[in-house]
Amino acid sequence: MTQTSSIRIAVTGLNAKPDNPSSGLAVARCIRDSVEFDGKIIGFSYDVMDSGLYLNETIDSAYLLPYPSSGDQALLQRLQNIYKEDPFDILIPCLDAELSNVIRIQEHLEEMGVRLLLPDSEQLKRRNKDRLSELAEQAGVSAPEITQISHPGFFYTCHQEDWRYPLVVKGTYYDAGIANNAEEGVTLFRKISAEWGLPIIVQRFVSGEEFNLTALGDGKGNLRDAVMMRKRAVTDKGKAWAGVTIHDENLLNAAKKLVKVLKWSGPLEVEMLRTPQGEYHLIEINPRFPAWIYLSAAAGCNLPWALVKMIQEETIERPIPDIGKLYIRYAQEKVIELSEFENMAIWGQRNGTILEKE
Amino acid sequence: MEQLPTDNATPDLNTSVFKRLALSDSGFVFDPVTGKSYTVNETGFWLIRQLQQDNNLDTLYKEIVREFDGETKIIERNVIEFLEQIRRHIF
Repeated sequence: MTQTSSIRIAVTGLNAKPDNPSSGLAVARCIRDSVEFDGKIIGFSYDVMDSGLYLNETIDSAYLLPYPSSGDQALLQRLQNIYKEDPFDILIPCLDAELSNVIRIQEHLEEMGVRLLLPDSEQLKRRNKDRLSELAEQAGVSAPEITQISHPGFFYTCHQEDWRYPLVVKGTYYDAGIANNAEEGVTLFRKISAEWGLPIIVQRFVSGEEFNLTALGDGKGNLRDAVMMRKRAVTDKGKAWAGVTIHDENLLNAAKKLVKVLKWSGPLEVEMLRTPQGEYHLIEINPRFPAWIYLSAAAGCNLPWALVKMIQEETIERPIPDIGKLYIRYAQEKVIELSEFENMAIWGQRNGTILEKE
Repeated sequence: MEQLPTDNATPDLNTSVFKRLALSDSGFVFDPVTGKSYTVNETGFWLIRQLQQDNNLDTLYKEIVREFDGETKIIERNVIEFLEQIRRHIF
């Protein structure tokens, strides 16, 4: 195994759209921030306009991957080709949509010499939105009741089954909105199902404020190195634009229970609503680091670096994150030469040896 | 319309909540559990400091009458209103 200092780490998810960034770039910045790191960071992304592909101050070399809908074999083939010319020791996936493909090819990657720390397929499914209530019940954590629907007529008859407005309407994988009446419910149903398919998940509305926790699961039921954050400002899509580190034992205990039941392996983010009475309700579990993960490094508990150490089976001191570290996200332009863009558009890469076009 | 506390109202003083608040001399208050921050004036700052020291309401009234000018009844009412505001925001 390559020594930590000269290790080559690949991260995915380099979309850095200001209103809804992926976490890959923040993960790379955390690794870059570690005083122990003196290796190489290789970036993978899916769209030629993902700005992280061009940020050479953070990402040493960058490559386009086939979209997750292309399947696991297309992903494996692409990664094998990249690996031949630009090998990497660790892969940190940062997108929900790609994770099931990566899990399916994990063994092949490990045979190549790439190490990962991921949940298995069943663990991944158990935290799906449509199974979240079931998981919460098993863990002894509160979660709003949900139901799955495949027809918008539900919104006109739901009161007969004691589903009262407002209701939260969610896609299985992404997108959500609040319906205050049947018309709004139908509009959300059509919008979300057109983009993300059926079924649609309807969830009882819980009034409260969102609190998030990110941590690592060791695969044995233990949660390690938790960092907690409260959103202080959000984008139009509800993503954190500003946040502050906090510490709440109730939130931590809820996350510990969930990780214990799941025996989660790898990074995760737990999203919970805190009611004015101080009760926590589980909203979502994301199977990756969140976009705000750089706050962990800023708070002295660099979780992506802790993940690298965990993958290398090295013991590390567990720092307690600073409370009251506040971040405010900003947008900035990256100016590049047309030739760099051309390389990415035609060859799907930057700064590496030119690979044979696939 | 929100009901104001009456003269007889006894605010629930959960001192553990006050103790966790981080206070800066500037009047900036940070709650490390909820992540919320507030600003208070000099009197509010003084009051929270007192509450962090486990002072009950009777002790608090005596201290405040000694520290500030004003009629005891008015001071008591203002303290109750302030505590009610804190309760709404922090608890």
